[in-house]
Amino acid sequence: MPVFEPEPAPRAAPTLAPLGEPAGDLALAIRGLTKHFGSVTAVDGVDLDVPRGCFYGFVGPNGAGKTTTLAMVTGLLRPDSGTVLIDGADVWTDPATAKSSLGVLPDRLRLFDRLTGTEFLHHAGALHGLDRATVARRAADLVQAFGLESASRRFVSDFSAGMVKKIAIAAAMIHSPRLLVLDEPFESVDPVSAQLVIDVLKKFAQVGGTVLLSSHSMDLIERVCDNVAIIAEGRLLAAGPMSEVLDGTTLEDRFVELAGGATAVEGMEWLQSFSD
Amino acid sequence: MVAELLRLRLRLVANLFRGARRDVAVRVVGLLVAILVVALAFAGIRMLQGSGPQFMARSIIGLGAVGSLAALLVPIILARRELMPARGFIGYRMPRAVLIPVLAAFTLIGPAVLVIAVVLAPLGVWRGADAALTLGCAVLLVVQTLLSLRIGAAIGAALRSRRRLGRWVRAVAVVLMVAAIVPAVAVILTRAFLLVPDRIAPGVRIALSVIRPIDSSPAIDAMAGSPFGALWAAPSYRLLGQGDRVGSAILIGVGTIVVLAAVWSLVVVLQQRATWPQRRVAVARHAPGWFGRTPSTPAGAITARSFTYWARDPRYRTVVATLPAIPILMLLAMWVGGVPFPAGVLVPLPVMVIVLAWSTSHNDVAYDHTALWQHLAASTRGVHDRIGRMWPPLVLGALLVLVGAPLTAWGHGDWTILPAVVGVNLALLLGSVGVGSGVSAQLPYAAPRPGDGAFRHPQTADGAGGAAQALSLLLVLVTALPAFAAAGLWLAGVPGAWNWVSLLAGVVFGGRRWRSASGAGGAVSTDAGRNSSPSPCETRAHERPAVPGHRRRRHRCARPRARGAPERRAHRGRRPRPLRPLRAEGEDRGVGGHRQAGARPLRQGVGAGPRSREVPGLPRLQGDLRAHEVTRAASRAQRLARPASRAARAASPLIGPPQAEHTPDCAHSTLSGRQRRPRRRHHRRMTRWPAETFRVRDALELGLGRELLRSEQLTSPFHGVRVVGRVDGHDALCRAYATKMATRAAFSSTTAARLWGIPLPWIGDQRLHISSPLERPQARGRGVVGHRHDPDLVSITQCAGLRVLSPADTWCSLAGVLSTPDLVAAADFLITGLPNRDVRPLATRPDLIAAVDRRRHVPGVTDLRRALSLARAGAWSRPESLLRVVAGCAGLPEPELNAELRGVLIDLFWPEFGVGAEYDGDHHRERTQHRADVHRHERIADHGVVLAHVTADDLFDRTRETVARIGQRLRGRGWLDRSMVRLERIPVLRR
Repeated sequence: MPVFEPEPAPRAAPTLAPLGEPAGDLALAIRGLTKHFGSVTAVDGVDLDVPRGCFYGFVGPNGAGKTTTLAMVTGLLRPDSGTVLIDGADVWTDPATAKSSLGVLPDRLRLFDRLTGTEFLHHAGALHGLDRATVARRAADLVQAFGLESASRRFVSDFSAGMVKKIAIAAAMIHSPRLLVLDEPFESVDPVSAQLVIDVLKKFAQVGGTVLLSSHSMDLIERVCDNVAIIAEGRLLAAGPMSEVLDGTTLEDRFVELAGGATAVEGMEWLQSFSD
Repeated sequence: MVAELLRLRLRLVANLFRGARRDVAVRVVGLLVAILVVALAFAGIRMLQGSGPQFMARSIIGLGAVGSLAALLVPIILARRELMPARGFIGYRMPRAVLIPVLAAFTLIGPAVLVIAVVLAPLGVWRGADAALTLGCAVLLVVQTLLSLRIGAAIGAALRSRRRLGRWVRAVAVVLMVAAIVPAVAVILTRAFLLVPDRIAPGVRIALSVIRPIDSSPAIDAMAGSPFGALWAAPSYRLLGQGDRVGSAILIGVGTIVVLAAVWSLVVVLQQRATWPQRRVAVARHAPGWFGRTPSTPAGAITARSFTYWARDPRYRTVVATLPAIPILMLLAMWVGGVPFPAGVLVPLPVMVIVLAWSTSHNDVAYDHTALWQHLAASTRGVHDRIGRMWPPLVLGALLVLVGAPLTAWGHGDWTILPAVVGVNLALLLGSVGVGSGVSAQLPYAAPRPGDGAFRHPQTADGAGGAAQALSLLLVLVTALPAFAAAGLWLAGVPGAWNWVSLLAGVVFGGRRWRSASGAGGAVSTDAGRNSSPSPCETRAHERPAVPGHRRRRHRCARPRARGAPERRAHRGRRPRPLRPLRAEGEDRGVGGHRQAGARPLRQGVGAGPRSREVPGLPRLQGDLRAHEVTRAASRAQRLARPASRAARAASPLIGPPQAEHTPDCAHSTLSGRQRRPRRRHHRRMTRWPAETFRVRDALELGLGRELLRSEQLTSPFHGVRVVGRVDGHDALCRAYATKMATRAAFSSTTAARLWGIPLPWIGDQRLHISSPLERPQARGRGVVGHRHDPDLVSITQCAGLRVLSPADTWCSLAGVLSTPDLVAAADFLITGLPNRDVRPLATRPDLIAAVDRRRHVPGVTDLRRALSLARAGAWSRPESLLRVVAGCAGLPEPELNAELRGVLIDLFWPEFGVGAEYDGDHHRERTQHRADVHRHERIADHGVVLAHVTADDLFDRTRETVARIGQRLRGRGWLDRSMVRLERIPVLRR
């Protein structure tokens, strides 16, 4: 017989204290970022500091505001209020400077998928104003690093979902940005390819690059990242170095504890009696 | 030296009648047909003799010119190899001054001898001309034909390895051939039928007489003046009394021969070049497609992208494809409606311009759908976007006007209208592109989605699209209004140069509209950050897609587009995030990385390359000479070059390829000590076999009697091969076959895999797998399975002195033979080697990827790709690979392979769970191994690792049970996967 334990009393969701003025050596500083969609508040006053050279994970349940936050950070979505500084440059008042050091992988937006893999990289490089020789050299390196040799002559529209992610990450890296913002980079990427991407990103972080990536896979974030921020319902619940946030538990446990998930499956008794 | 070459040539010609029976039959039939053609030529000439010198001479010119052209083109079309390529004579130290004429002349020895007969045919007709001229022309014709044949064959052979180019060149050659044959034959036939009036149906005669008679046919005149007909024409001119033209005709003919001789010399020189520069692969500075033609700037990138899309995207292509239908349909409709043609012909071109330029550009931004985020991410300026998008419609439109305006004026019947037509259409073109660019940035509306056809418009509830269309079209027409007005005045006959006014108005107003509207579009869609007001439409267009599922009323322009996406349509509710279809892991069929970059292929480079039968003095003789023939010719040639010693002569007849185990001059070697002892001693004493393994044919040539070859000392593993004693093992069997293997064949499939040491499941079939190049006959016979390979795609290396497909190609040839898990195990072996037995990796992952990519359309390539994506370096044996694959198939997490845990290796190890799996092969039962194992296992247990032991029976017979057991252990150690272990996905393994 299973032993039922009394449920622990739900803790009040903690809210982080607002951060002060951003320091100078931050790759990314977010202050008071807010976005409303009609009556829904998608992102509610998010403050976040991402130091240089770290591998920052951004986790949250579905609909927590991860994608919205990252879209505002990368200049794809205008915030209602708040500022985003990338290397000290405001994304919304000085976009040319800010975006020159920013590489973006948005979630579920289309790509120019009638181009072949190599053409796609050349397109991305030229948009960033790189000269042809540089683009060609970097494209060759990236294609090799991501194991896309076989795909470089095929149309992006014919790629599998994982390969699309990989080529998009490659395109985001081609202008050698200082900050990479990747929204769900490992979604539908097979484990071997994911490891490949992680290796490339780790190398990027080792030489001083900064990676901010969102995922709903706690295991992966816990394994890969050295910093983590947990977001739910548009609010940041915890942020900082992994060990501090985890506090001895696993990320999954900590996340469930903070976000108050794991609600009992009540009122779905019909699910337990199978129809025959 | 020339005599040696002659002998070689004769042998080659004789070889044409050897080989597979079917091939010989084809060649014989071909030869008979050629002889028949020659006979017919003679008969035809005789028939023509009665029809007057004029017709006779001209028909000879026509047919002769076609024949001369055919001598060049037919080899280009048909030849795939040369019988005696100059490249084969690099080793002969033959001066080129000799080689060039001799090789060309030797063409006569062979089927080409019929050329002489053909050239002789018209001699009877030419009898009237003086003998010197006639004979001279005949000789020159033979020379021209021989050179043409050699050059054609060289081109045909060279095109073999350049397939795409070859296809084009051959197509052009065929067209040229047909273009020459059709008029010549048709024109001659008309007269030929007239020669036999009564027996041929008179109807045919009447029909044919419609064609212009040969006497005045311009086609024949053109042929007579061409390089191919000049020499045929020269004697005919004398015959016809046009002596003044003889000189020029001969000049053309001799000039042609000089040119051909120069080309032939060049061919020989090129073929004899010892090395060719490697074709550079993936040049670093090279940019693909249009991206290499436009500057590497944002505007250039967008231009290149636009051109690429116009070429590839059905939404643009359909528009271009429908253009030709417009004039046809409109003119037809107006003809039915009774509109006079001069007026009606003015209408289609403006319509085409509008369809081309306006319909594509006024909503171009929306065509990109949400992909435009890249512009925002790169902070691209709107004006660059506008400029980039303008080029394809502008260029195509300009071409259309350039072609269409003169045609329109011609159809109209009055060329003075041309400026007005150009003016109106330019105004429409520039207006369309300019207005389109502005409107598409300001008012994008729902468009067909990328990949859809041009006419699949998504449903829209509001009239945004209609408004944008109406507005932009109106603006375009307003732009062209002045030009239209002036053109109207011109048509109405109002005095004044209104046609030029129309042109001016068109250029001025169109240009202004283009500049202002496109500039406006550019300014409007300039990057949002430049002015931080939220008005820019591009920003608006992006704002929505960035948050899928949410809609905002005031952003009308972007709404309908987003609505087109089905996954979004399904979720119009309040939830800000739509559901997404679940995707299985491992969906990415892409090939993984190549962490094996440091690993080197082991045995490659042992042989010099694909030709193991090459003789040092004669590096590369192409063609299909048997090895010993090459050898013999080479050695004789060398003997001629310097005084030969007795020993050298004695060593000359070689048997079989020079191999590692067999000394080249093994003609008189005795049995080696390793050989199995024959049954009867006295035979051994009496018989000195030429080698351990030899061909019956060689033995007969050396004078061994057939009786002797039936000796019980010999086994005959294959037809025509004898082995002294028994054939011992697989490698010996391969060596035995190698003596008779065709020059360019190689071992493939499981045979090659065994030679490379690739681990295989038990395979009962012991036959050898031989792969021959596509154009050679497939290997057949007892104990042999023949395959085919494309020599351009497959590389052949040496393995233990045998010609074997390279490791990567061997692996590819196993597709369809092995199951996917076994393919993975084979790939694991190739990229890992056997680290515990000091076998280095035979291939790298990129090698395998490249090999698979070369076989893009070959059956089984899907299997290969899947296996490649599963392959990983690190497994030290086949069972380890298989265990890893089945565990992966069932959804277990990926283990570390041969991971080290405090100095102890574990076959499969999940460090995060402290679980390991060990495959215990049968050798683990051996005493010392067993003791070592127990010690290891205890040490592993000391570190708190749970081990699952797997035996062969566990792996092959109880696969699911075993995997479930490992899964259980993992679960027990904290593996929390919401998905179940999917045992039903585990494939069946072969032992």
